[in-house]
Amino acid sequence: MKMNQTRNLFAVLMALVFTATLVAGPPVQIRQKDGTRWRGELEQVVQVTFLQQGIEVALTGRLTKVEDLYLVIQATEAGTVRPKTIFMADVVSVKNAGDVEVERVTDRPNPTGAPEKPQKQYSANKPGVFVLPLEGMVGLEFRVDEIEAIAKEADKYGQGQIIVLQIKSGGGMVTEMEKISKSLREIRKRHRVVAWLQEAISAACATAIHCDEIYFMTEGTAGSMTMFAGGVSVKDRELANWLEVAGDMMEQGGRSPYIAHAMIEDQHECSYDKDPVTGEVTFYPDTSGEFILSRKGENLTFNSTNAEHCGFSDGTADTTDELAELLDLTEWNEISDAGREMHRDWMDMVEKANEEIPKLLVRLQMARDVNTQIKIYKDLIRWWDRAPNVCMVMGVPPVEVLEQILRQLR
Amino acid sequence: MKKRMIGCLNVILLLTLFVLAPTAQADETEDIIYMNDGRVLTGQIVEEDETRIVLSFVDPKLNIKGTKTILMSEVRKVERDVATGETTEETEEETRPTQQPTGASSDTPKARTLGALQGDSADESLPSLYVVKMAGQLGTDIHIDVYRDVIEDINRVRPDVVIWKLETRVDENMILAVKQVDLLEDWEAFDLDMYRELVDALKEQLPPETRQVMWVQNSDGLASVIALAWDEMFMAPGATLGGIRSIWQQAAGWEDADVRAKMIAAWLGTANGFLARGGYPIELGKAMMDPQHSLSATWKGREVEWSLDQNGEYIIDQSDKGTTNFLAKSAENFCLSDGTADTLDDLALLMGYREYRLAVGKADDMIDDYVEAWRKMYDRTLLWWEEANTIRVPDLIAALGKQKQLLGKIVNAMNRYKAVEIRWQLVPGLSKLELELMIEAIEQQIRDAKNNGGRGGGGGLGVGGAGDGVG
Repeated sequence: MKMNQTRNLFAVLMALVFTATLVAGPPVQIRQKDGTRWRGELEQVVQVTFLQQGIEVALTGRLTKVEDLYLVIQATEAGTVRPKTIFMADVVSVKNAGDVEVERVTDRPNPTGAPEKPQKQYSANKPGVFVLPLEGMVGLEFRVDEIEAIAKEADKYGQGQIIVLQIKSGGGMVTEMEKISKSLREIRKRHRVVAWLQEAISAACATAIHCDEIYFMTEGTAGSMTMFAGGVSVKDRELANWLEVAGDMMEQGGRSPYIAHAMIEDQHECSYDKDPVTGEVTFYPDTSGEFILSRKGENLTFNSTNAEHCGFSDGTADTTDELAELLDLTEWNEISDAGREMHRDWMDMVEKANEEIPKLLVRLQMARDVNTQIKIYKDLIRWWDRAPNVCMVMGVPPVEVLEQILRQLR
Repeated sequence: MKKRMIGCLNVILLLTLFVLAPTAQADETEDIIYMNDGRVLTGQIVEEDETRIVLSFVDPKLNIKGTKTILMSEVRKVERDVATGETTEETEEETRPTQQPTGASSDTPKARTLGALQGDSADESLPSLYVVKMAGQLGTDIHIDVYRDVIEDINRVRPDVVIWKLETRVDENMILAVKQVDLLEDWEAFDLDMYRELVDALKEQLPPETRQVMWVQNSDGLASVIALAWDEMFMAPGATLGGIRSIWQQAAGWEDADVRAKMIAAWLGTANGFLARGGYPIELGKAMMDPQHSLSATWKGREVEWSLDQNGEYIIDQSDKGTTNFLAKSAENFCLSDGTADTLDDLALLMGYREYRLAVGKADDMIDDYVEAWRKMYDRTLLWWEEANTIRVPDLIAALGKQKQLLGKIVNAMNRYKAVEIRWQLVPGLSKLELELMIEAIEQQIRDAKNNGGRGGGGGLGVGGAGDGVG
């Protein structure tokens, strides 16, 4: 009897082991960067830390395949569940999902030896936020270059990141605005682009309306998109064209084109009704609505209250925490300060250019000997390289002219 | 140069007194102008048309005759040839709004005799109030530079309440006074960015739990925009809040109608951003800035609904030529201010404190020292400028060197005190960059002089570009 019970118990245990083996999947092992091996099983939920373009990235998902040269995990990336192939050579570490702790992401070795800044852990399951402050004159401090650079930075982390354009500008050049328009249309295909406005007048407002969403700071203001040159506003065909283009931009952002028209030309009026029950807003190109935004002789510029009331803005936020809430984020996951650094660097450059270029021009006027003149022309050419916008605004002769003069002097 | 100028003006002043003294007596009759804001002005109308009146008056303190230009849009009523001393309405000391609000008293709010009790500063059981002045000229005396230090001190003291005590005076109509220095004082720097930076710093660099209150002693000009960035605002009985028409004026000069509309909307929008921070409606801001707007108010319970027309229950401004300004009484009536307080005891009581203590801090000393320092420095820079313009040294290189040194000192002063740089844009009307370029030009002149081996010459040396030099 005893023997039979023992035999039965053994059989049950074997059956359990066999069943467990069937459910869990075959055992696998993965070599980690530190030389140790992680041992687990297929179908297990794991966190894989790996290198992506030199940056450590962590991804949590179900391990579905392990081969000599690569592994595949089924993970949520930018909101979609899909298989992700990771080469074994890029794997840093593998952890069981229950053992996951927040680790420091280490960057490539810092050649300067300066202390490394702690960086936030990037998780592919949460979109990252990239903030780019845009200040000053459109076409001078406020450029398409930085917008494209921040998009490239966001691309490194995969599609679906959130780019926040923090705008404080009184407007500027139409030519730059056109470049920005083209660029933002492309970037929006890959990332969620959000405008956060302190001041967005004229070309700066035209930038903002390209964004998927617009948020105001409490003191925020936006509008006044009249195009003018030499103190005279554009008329006739140019005006008609701008009204149409701006109206389209507004519509593509889910906003009424009447808003754009009232922001451009003082003969265009704009008002709206708001359903007290549903909150639905209906805009009119006249003053028949209950809430009048712009009358004849006026130009439309929003403040935060009326922008939110009529739905032009998606909300008002004064801090990143408040903005995170409006963006439906569980936390403000600003995984890179590249945007803020780019902005600072460029603003410093413009300030330096504004100080030095006028001095060079004076020195050039007064320079007597050829060597001094050559040096000054070379400096001006260097400034064209570093700060072309500033040189253009200051009326520095174009590079070709400077080079020609240099050749003559030599 | 400044001494000579002031010397001349003193002579003119004396002559004026001498010439006008016999006539600076009260005339038998006078003209009386009743203003929309309640003031009553007396004098002799010397000129008028449909948009303005020029009133000649005698300053009672100085016994000097002067003139004042008054916009017709700000005038409620004119009485001519009234026997001297016989006004038919309340005098200038009493304030009265254009119309009486329903049930409101027409008297000037009297100072309360029973306010909160000030206790021992060391008694930590009492709420601590830190009063910080914001007084003088906006953009120079009131500048972020000194308030950074003030913020540090407030954070050190950690009071329960910070009270910003605001007092500025800018004469919108610019009394054409005899003393030219008024030109410097009756002015403010038009730089909304700078003021936004100031407001940001005051609001964001202090602990969020610290209650902040604006207490307006008087606010003419852009200071009113700053005042309205605080949602808790009180006024002193004689205070006015307004004079921000300059924002509209900044933009209204464009000839093209579209461009003008754009600029007006942009400037008003930016300025209204301050009001938005204080929770004030944009209609109020528009009426206070843009003379083309009228303003009326309707009470909805304890809330006031403002509209830019005359359809409200109570018309505050029916003119399309003047902007809306508020006296303490009217600001309180229309719930713009949270109350009228003459003394700190009154203010504390209105804020809900029966007893309080004064926080001991260094803010006012810091501010006084700063104001004295930058003004002294400004005066010195004018002397250096004068000296740089009148150098008489036989040696050219030495003269140029001296000139460069003096201009360098002025630039250093501007770097040390932004207020000096700002004032210089008014008098003598030069920017820091222009001075730096002058220094560049002088350096080149020195190099040229050395290369030419020239050290001779004599006579005066004026500051200027290439080509200026010794005669």
